[in-house]
Amino acid sequence: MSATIALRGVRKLFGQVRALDELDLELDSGVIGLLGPNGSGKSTMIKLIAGQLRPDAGDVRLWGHDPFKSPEVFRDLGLCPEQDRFYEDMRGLEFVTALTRLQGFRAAEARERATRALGRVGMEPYAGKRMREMSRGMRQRTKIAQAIAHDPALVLLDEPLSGTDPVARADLIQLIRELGDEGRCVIVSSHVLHEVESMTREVVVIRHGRLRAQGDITRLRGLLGDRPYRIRLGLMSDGDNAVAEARRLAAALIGGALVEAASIIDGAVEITTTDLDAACREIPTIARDLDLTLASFTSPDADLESLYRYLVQR
Amino acid sequence: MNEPPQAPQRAPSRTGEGVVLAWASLHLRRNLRRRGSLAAIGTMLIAALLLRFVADEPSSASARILLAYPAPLLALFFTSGVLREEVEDGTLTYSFTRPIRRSRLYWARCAAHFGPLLLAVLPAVALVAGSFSQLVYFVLAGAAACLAYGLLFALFGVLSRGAAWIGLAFLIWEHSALRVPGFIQDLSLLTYIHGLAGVSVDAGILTYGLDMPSRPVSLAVLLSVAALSGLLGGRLVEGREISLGR
Repeated sequence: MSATIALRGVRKLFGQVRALDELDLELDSGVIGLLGPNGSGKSTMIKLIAGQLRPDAGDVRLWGHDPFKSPEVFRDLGLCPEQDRFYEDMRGLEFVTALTRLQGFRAAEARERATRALGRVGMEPYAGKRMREMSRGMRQRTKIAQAIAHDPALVLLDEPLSGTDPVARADLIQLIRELGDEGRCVIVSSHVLHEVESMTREVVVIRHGRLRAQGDITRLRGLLGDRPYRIRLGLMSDGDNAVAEARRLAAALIGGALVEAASIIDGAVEITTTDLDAACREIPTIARDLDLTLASFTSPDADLESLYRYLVQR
Repeated sequence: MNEPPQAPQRAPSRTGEGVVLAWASLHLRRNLRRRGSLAAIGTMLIAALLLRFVADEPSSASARILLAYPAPLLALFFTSGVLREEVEDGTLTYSFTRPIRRSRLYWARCAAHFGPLLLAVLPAVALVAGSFSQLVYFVLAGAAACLAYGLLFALFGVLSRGAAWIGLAFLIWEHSALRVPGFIQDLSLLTYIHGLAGVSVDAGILTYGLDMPSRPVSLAVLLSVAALSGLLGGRLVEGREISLGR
């Protein structure tokens, strides 16, 4: 089975600017974070997938069809564009219903679906408000509602959380995860890394219109090669002995070849290693030999921020 | 050979004429609520009333004035921005990512813009008619003029950002062509609009010797221009990228 979305050798030029350059990419299901700094080509890629733009070279396929020439693929595609633009005189429900009707549904069903979608994004109480009377967050949620009202298999969300308050943001992150859990392919473009990380472990990183990395965040972290990882080890111990036990563990670890450096931070041991796999295997054994119990084992370097920084700067 | 991947199986939904008509009707209602539309309709009615009762012009002269000046200008005003308006508003992306051919959405938008245009022109030309037969021909000529000019100016809008200026230049050409002797007069849409309405062309001293085209020929020419403009506009829209500014 081929991918839902396939881009092969895609190039897109805007005058002299290469927005995308020889981009090869295949995406299938689940939530996929599309990352890259401003001007990296994220929105251009989404517009190409949504059939709004045509590649100058290469081809874009949705379920094997060219989205620019095959409007039938839009039956299964929902797009939440980046622009904060609406038919300002329309009410929220009217807006979503009208666009859902364009998917081919009868008026009553379109209205029912629109109501359900607005409810899903927490906009049902405000469905009667005109678009021009809505806050930025409400408009953003309404925009997402029109993208999901027809129950698409592929959802493209271009900066979907911009302008939303923290509560709405948490709700939308949950919604996006649910959409992915339902088996849809959800592409979320964002430059807010921790938000993407809270939605998915699958990312695509592009910079200067080229694919820099694609896959699971943890696996991609391996791209950092022999750059050292930091690992923070929390111990289960009472307050009086906490520092002493942490020192004991640090001393044991620093004595081996695995750990390059160790320090005590807030009662936890922070070590630096270049071999994450070996550290994962051996540290619990060392701790057990010392009669210590590990309460936590985390790597601040395995997060998206450090990966992203590395990928876009190299 | 691998089968192309399929989109998930869905319950069939309709993307036929009903959906396009609903879209056109939605935008028609929006257009009719606009101040510009109401002002145009009101102004045309007042102009018709003034021509009929104050200026006391003969019916054919009044119809000729209305069909030659305000009708094309209103067509330019209402239809040259059929698509440009949505591009500038940034809303085109919503409708153009639906399972409907872009050309049909374009025609739906054109139809929505014809609403206020027809409401402005047709009652006005009907008001100046002196007899029932004049009323029929004036309304027919008004409708054909709106259709031909409207779809032509909508095509200009698809072709260029400066559609309003191109349209104005075209209208100057239209009036100038009437004043040039010979076949050039046949190249003006106004010739056929006046021919359909059954009113003489106002071409000053050159009116002498000008053969008015027959009504069937006039109607055929105007409908052909409208059809060609509409088809070409739809075809161009099919191949056009949507570039919305941030």
